[in-house]
Amino acid sequence: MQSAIISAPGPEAVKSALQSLAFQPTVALVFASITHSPESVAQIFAQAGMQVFGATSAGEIAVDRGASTIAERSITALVLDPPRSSFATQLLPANGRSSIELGRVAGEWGAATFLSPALLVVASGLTTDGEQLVQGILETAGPDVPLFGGLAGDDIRFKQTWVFDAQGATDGGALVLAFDSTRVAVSGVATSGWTAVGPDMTVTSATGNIVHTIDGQPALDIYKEYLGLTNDSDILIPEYPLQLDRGGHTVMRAALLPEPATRSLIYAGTVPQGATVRFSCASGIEIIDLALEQVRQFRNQSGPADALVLFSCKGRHMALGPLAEDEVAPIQALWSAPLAGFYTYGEIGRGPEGQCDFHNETCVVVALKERSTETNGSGNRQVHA
Amino acid sequence: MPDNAMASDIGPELDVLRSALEALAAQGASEEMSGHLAAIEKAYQKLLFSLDRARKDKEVQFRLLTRTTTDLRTALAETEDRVRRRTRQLQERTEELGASNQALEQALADLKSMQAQLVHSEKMASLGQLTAGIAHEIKNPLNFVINFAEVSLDLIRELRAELRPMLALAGSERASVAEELLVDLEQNVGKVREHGGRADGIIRSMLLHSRGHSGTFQPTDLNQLLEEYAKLAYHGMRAQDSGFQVTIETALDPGLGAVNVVPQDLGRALLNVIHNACYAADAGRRGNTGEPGLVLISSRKLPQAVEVRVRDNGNGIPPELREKIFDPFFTTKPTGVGTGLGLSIAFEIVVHQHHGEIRVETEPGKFTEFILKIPQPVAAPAATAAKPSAG
Repeated sequence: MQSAIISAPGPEAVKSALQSLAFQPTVALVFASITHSPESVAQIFAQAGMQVFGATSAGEIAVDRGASTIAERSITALVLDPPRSSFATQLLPANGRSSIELGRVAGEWGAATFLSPALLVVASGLTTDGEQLVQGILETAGPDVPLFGGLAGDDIRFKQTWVFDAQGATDGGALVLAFDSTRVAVSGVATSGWTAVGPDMTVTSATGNIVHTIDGQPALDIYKEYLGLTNDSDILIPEYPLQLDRGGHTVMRAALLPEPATRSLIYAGTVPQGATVRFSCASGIEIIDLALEQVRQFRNQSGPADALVLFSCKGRHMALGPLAEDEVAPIQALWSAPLAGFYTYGEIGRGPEGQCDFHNETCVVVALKERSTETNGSGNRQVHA
Repeated sequence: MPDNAMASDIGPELDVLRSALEALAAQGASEEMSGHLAAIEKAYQKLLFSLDRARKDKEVQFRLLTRTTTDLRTALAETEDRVRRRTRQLQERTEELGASNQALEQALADLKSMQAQLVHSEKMASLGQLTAGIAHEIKNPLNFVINFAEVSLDLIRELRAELRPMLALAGSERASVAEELLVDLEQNVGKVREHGGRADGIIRSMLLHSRGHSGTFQPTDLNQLLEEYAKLAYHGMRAQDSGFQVTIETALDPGLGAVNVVPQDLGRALLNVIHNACYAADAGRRGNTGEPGLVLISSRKLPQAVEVRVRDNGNGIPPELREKIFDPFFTTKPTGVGTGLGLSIAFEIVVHQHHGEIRVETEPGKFTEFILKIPQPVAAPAATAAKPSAG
């Protein structure tokens, strides 16, 4: 499978880059700033004969042949040429459906499309309950389905995000890209690199992704106490996420915004009441070292790849600052395959412990590899592309 | 703070680097040089960022560790406090248990003692009724035996008087044979009379058990009573046996006052006990102990009772016999010397009639001490002691 990276400041630069490609891609994974119209970006790739799996972003990542670009307000794409029968996309506008219902429909569609599907999913970064979406997909597509993805961003405006394919776009639903995993292998790992510190704490009051009290104290006050802040507005929360104990594995939860009136904190994911949490922190270099070690182990198990997709948390981007490129470049170098990705409002993937979950603050690395031709052609039962 | 110290220590070096970069940029470098400068500038920014992040993280970690340490200290203090309290509770509980255990053991001992007393009392009561019945039935025929024996003795005397003139005529040989027969007859009837009398004495004693104590309680000078009955016992013993040698000493509480008892009955009980003590002391002198016989009689006022102790330095009572000494007809004296009713009667009088206690302390080969306790309610009407008749 051939692949290439397009990283361009705007639509015109994308068009010219497409013209200079040495192969005819069949699908494009497109991550674009909200400053560009999602539909028109999609049309550029559609007119060049590609299916599109796209999302708006909060920063775009492109690494190829030693050149790494971490940009904002740009358009990044990973273009590939898998056989058209080995993949399919499905756009799922919410239409009043809850996240778990959307997830069930997505999983059902994936399982109906291929006998052994592998799923990439992007969804609205503002209306999606990531945990529910994952749960719904695993319910209908099976708990072992390879599943990776991220929630769309909007350059930290928190107003409107989009997911889009060649046929349309939605600002409130999800988009699924299914591969026939017998032909295109999809594997990946979600890594964090943060280290839990301090005592175990209990979430004493929470509603959805809003945490009211921890250990009986207002969540905002606990944060201020530990971070040594004097003003509510000083909170630079993504750097100190909560580590949430799932009984066997942990997930990170980044606080997005304070609610000074209620002394609550809004998180980029559900934090169940009664959950055990710990603060976590790490300096930038430590985060990168630990994450790279986990990616290296994954690389040793997974073997070579034709292309890499990265779903990395916007909070992680903020925490790493200028060091962010020091993370993505070594990842790309492990495979020497083109890498494209974006900074998300939440990630989906298996942690090193193997459970698929919804995360914050992680870097999800997905490796795509077309299998040898002898095994091709048996699993496709797609009837509508 | 050490974290700040690290950043500030490195601060001057960063400033040197910064000014060097600015100086190089100001010189207007070649394109290639500009590329290197941009790279150095980028690395410099990363360095600054990393240092800043490291400092912040150390601060947060320090706060979290402080909090953890504080939590641990608090938890430790609470745990220590709990352990102390629990230990104290356990100690108190152990003490309570020890105390209640002691109380229970005491109660058990009291119950056992009470049960033994009850069994004994019941046995005594039924034996008393039995002996009273037998005694009553035997007393009538025994009266006949005694009366007819006495009449027969009179008749023998009359017969001898009647026969004497006739026998003088019949010749000396025949007369002396008849006379010998009369003497034998008189002796035999005398024996019947004597042993009948002895049986009567036994029966009288037995009847004392059942007669119901008719005497009335009256304020009595118990010390005087004790002295009288001590003398009585002593002289009684001397009359029976001229070899009797016992010293009786008294230690009487002058503050005893008037004691409300039935003097005749209690006197009998005292007499029996003192008599036994004298017998034992004398037997000890003659037998095992070889010491001069001594009987010590003492009285003592207790808060709601009076106590009389009668102690002898005789042979003591072997353990296996102690439970039997108050049983009717139980005696260690040679047959014919004791009826076995003395202590039984004393028990009856002290325990049942006067609602008191009688118990014995003894050590074989050394001493025996009978302790009589007569309850005296504090509110008992004080009356002048009746003067017992001088004896």
